Amino acid sequence: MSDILPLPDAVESKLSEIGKADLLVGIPSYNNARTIGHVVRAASAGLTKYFRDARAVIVNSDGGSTDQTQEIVAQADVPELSTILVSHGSPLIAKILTPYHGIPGKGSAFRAIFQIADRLGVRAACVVDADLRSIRPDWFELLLGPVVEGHADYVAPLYQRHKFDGTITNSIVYPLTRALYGKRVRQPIGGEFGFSGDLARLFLAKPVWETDVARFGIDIWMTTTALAEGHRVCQAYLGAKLHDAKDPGGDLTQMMTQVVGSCFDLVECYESIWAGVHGSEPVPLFGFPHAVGVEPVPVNAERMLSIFRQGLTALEELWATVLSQSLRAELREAAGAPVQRVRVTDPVWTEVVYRFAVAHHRRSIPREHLLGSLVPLYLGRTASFVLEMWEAGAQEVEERVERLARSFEEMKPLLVSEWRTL
Amino acid sequence: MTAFWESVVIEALRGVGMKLGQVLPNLAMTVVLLVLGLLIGGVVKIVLRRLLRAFRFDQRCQGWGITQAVRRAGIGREPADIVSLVTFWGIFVIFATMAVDLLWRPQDAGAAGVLVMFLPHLFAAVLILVIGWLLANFLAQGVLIASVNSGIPEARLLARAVRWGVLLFTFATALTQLGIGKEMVLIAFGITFGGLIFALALAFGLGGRRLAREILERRLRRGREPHPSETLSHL
Repeated sequence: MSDILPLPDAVESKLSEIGKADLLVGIPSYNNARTIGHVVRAASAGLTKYFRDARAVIVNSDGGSTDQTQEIVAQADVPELSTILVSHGSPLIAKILTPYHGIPGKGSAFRAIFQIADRLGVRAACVVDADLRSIRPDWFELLLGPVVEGHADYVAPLYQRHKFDGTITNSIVYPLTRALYGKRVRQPIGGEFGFSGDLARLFLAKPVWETDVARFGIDIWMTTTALAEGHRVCQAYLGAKLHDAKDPGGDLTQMMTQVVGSCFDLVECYESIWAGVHGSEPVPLFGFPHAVGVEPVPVNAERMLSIFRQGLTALEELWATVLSQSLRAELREAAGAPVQRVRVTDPVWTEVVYRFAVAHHRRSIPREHLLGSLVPLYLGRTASFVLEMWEAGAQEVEERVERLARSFEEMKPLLVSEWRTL
Repeated sequence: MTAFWESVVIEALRGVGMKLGQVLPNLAMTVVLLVLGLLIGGVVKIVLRRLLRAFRFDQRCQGWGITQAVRRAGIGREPADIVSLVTFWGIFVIFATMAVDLLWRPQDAGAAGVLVMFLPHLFAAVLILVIGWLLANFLAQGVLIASVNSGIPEARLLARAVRWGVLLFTFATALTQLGIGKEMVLIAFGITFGGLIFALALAFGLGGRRLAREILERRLRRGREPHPSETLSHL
């Protein structure tokens, strides 16, 4: 059992006041004053509309916002529902009560939500991001419903996204998770999830809250844990996901380290499970898939290619400890092509990811450096994907992602054999 | 002439003979001690290496990240080999010190004494060099990766600058530890390091004024607005 962080007194008294609850909606936030009011209203409307008889709670786990996020949650119209404010990251509490409090991030916010779900003994819970602009009340039916009705223990979201959106998901996380655990969860790190109260307790009990799971790694960790430990996983079609823009280039290395690092940590953790999995199968889908308009995503492929090319010369020595000579030669050949014809093929990219997973396991170089050095390769692959799919429609792009996922499945024996030669 | 030869050459040869008579037994003992050092060191090295392997020392070092750190420093040997090799040379140095002491005449200052007095400083200096070397490689690699990922064209130059900066600091610290020209090292280091930073600042500010401006602008604006030509969401 992991160490349990004490909850603030105000939360404790609120919990005593509520006693038990059936459903819980968790909203982790940090400076989301612009959008969180809408998210809270959507949640309260969804709970009121679809789960009228259930005792429901909305939990806002905040990381120390300075823009009145908490005040907006408190004032948001939540008829007949209890709203609890968890001041996650408050220095007073952090300094006095919790040894794990030092890691600010989404995962730590989720931890507080899981604790409250556990204390209230909820049957089902879901978490949604606070920066969502496209959230609707029916999302809560789709995220909570399959669990409430006993069809699933864990609900992953399925969104309609722009063809160039979610590139870490498309090129690493989805194909790798699918090949390893044999379930086709298209957006394992989608951001919004539904889960049973029992699963929340299981998450809470895992000793991961001091790792990258406490940051960006929480999404992949939850999905993988649910898949690898044999829980019933399904997907819920939520339509388009529109959220506040973030600086995409600024934190890419950090993102890569946390998300892909967590992914690779889990590969290590669940070796006994994935080594015996062959092929993959779809998981049940709830909701009604329909075409929706998505926001355009401007992409600067030339900038990505320039980093890829620079990496090939500057990081050659480092990559030599991870990638074979022939693989590096193929990457060099790809990078040397004229911009429009640069292609990092599926087998090459699959082998790159598998070799990095093995190197991560072997600790052949410091893990932060290893994952950081994956960024230029990832940008090369992304640029190649963007250039290849420039004119393609959503369906064609989806088929392209599926082809990559099949490549990961077909080349899985390489990962298994390399892993076993350690 | 004959008397001269008798007095000068034969006397000299006699003197040399006497001196050799005094030194030869010690010389023989020196050789014996050196051979003993080699033999005992060799045996200890083999036994220690086997013991370390039996306790899976290399695998443990791999887990602790020591093997990788050593490899980054350009040492291709396994940790068990390194430990046994260091032990071998440690034993040999002890025997060699005793051997050198035997060759020294009683009226001279004891070489072993001097060496023993000097050993802690030497050990500390070697330790500083090793740690500095590892740190320089680690930091240079980190800077190289971060610079490449940020699209900075001078990534390798930056990494080299960091590496040599740390190494320079390390050498200066090690020399100070050995007591070699303390003041001189301090001043030389100060001038070199200060000059280097000043030169870099000048080169960056004057030679690369536009680049400096771009980097500063990018740094200060980070987190406030997306890259002008990209809003790709990676997750």
